[in-house]
Amino acid sequence: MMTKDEERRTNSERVPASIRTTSLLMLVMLLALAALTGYWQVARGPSLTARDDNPRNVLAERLVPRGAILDRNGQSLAASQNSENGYVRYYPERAAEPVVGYYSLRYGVGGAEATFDAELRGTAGRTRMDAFKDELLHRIPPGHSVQLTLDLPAQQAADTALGDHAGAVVVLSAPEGEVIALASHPTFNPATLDDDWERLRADASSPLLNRATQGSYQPGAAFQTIILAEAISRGLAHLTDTVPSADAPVTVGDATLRCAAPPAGETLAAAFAAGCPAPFAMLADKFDARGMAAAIGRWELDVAPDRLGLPAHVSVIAPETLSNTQATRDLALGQGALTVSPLQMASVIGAIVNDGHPLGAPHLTQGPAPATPALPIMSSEVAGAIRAALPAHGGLAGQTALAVGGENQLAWFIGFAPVDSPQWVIVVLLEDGDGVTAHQIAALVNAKLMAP
Amino acid sequence: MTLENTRPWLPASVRLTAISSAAIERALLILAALFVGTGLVLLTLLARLSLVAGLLSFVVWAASFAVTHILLGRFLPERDPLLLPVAALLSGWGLVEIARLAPAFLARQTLWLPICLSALLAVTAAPRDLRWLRRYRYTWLFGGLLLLAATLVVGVNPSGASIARLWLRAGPLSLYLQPSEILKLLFVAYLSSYLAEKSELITTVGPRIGRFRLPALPYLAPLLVMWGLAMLLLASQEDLGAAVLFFFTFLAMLYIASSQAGYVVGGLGLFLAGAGVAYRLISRVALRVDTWWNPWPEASGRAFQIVQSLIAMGTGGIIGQGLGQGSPTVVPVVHSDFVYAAIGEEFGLIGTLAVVILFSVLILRGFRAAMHARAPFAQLLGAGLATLIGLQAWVIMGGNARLIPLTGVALPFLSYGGSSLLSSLIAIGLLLQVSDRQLPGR
Repeated sequence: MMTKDEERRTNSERVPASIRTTSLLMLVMLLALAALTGYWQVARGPSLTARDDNPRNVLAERLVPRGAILDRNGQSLAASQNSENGYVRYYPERAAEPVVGYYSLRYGVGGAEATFDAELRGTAGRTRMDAFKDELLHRIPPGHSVQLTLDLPAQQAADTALGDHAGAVVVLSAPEGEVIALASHPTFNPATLDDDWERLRADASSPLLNRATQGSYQPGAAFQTIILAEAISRGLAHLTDTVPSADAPVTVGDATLRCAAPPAGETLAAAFAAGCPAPFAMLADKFDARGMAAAIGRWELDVAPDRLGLPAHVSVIAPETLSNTQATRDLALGQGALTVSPLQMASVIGAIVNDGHPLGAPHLTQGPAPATPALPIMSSEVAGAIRAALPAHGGLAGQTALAVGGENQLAWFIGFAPVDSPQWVIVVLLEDGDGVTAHQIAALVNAKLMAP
Repeated sequence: MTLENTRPWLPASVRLTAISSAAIERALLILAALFVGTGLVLLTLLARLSLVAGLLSFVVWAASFAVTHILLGRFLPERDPLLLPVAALLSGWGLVEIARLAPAFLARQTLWLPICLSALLAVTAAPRDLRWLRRYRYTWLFGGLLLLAATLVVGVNPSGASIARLWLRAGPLSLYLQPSEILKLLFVAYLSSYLAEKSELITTVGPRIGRFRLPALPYLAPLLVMWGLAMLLLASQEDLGAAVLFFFTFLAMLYIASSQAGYVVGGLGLFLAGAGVAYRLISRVALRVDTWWNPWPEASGRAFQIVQSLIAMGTGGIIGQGLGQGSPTVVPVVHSDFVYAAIGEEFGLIGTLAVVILFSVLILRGFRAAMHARAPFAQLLGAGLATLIGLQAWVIMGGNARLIPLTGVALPFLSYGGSSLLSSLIAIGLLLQVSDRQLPGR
């Protein structure tokens, strides 16, 4: 039995032990706090700062003197101007939207604004050391201007000529493959994108879609160039072959295919020039499935245009879709499983213009072309023969063709100018139109291109 | 070997311990002054602060702590040399943060500093046996409770809001006092006195129920009273933070006095049960718990603050954006509730770890002083105050970092608020008293 004094002493000795335990516990709590703080600040830092609801990203963006986007003659298509709220992006030329795209604090970047973001921001081409120093010292590198191959007058002409039609116009330079004009309708206004975004996304006419590069259309009679080049190369047909009743309509499923214009004779060349389907339906029967697949593969429709930098449609050619003669025939008529974008059709006609060699890969800025020379798709004789078969009016040569896309009649014009020494390939697509209108639009654009 | 022989260059008359202790404190205070001065100069250069305001607040801060340092040499020559410099650095950093985050409040916070340090000096100048605090525990406690009760009648909210009128207007300088901050200290002092006096009952056993032995009544009764008080706080003020702080400080002191871990387990159970009921009945408690458990789905709604706090911390990375270079003000009420996150953004992990280490040093020195004290009252007071400061800092920093649900308690020394600074510096004064080796009863 302890005395009271002993008890008291024991107690006062016991107290420091419990103090030590308490202080240890508090240290463990603080250690847990330090560890969790380290987790948020280091391990989760990048994912936290990248969140959409981090207002710093918008605040920082307003301080960036973003470079201008210029056309090939130095005309401004997009520029940043300083205001009391920081830099604001201006778009002096609405016609250039499908190429220039948009720059939004809320919805990010699109088009060339996205493709050349690093250059425009001034972060491209920095050494790692410079990038680190800029980051450390909160220095904002000045943005660099980007000069496009786009020609503003041609772009404006394409935009104006397209008018209210839903569709696209593509002009590439031959043989380089520079994008001279790239119009797509309907489109949007990048200056009011933040306000319009929800409406634009909900719009059934897809204004945010760049029809020239991303559109996925039935080529219809515009596909005849590919079939014809292959058939002539293999000796399956000649342009001088006589084709009786070339203007006969052809039915594919529910759709009825017709000539875009009355043929000017009874030869295969005349049928091709008028975009008549009947001779090509017969020609298709001379191909077997493997031959057809090989013919199409040569045109590299399934290869993405990497040099362009814009999102683009890539054709899918599944061998099993060619398993029967009907599928092969549909394909040859341009109404099968294969769909193309206007940009792809520009490359197709480009090979005809370029003596059988593929056109340079489509691109928006000057730069070194890929070193590896591309294999020819056809001989220069075949290309020359097809070029000669295309009808020419007023300095513009090309084929007008129709296709059926769902409920609508698609109208294509694929051609080139000038007729004697081609400098440009021109493709027009109308989602609901006739061959005459497509040809007229191409002629209007060509008139601007030819103007001094 | 005598001290005089080991350090022959020192005059024989001076005591080495006293000299080195004061010198350490002085050297550390100069380091703190360099940090605070650099911070204010930076903010001035960035044009976030006028030269006059920066200079004035630095001079007031530096002069207040210099005078305190000099007078403490007279009052408590053998005090712990780390307590004051850490408090000086933290409160100076607090001034820098207020200058950065809410410059409009800088003058008011600066004005509080000499007042708070006067209170610290008054505490340290008082007789060293602390009888004035120990003997009149009920007088002090009821004084504190009266002040708190006064807020129910004449309470105001400095922001002019008609809710949460927890302040009393003090004097003509439009300084506002929050009595609950002072009550926390009086409560720790009261408990220290009560538990020290009843310590002989430590081995007495309580009533038995079957195989289980209940705690002795002197512990059981206050435990239940405290639990009731904490729950009352929760219900009346919806103040989760204050309830947690009061209750867990109490539990820690009960454990320190009794060495019975059973009280902690039992108390924790009671708290969780009470919190469970509060979660179901009080929407604000439910909100805080929900947004802690999973804030991401409601990042733009109810969990906006905590998610923004975490983004601010993530923005800081390891070295931080640099003082005045980040955007911590996008976090709502950053200057009072999210100073830790603001430091995380601009000073990085280095800064947040520095804050955690400074608080660790502060409470470890407090616990050390308590362990070296002989008188039970001094032991309990020192350990209780160290626990109170440590818990309060942990609760709000843990809330910022999503370790625990967010509560609105102030981060001692660093948050904007005069009452919080006052109670923190009075606590430092009491810890200095406890740490002094000439304290009677050692």
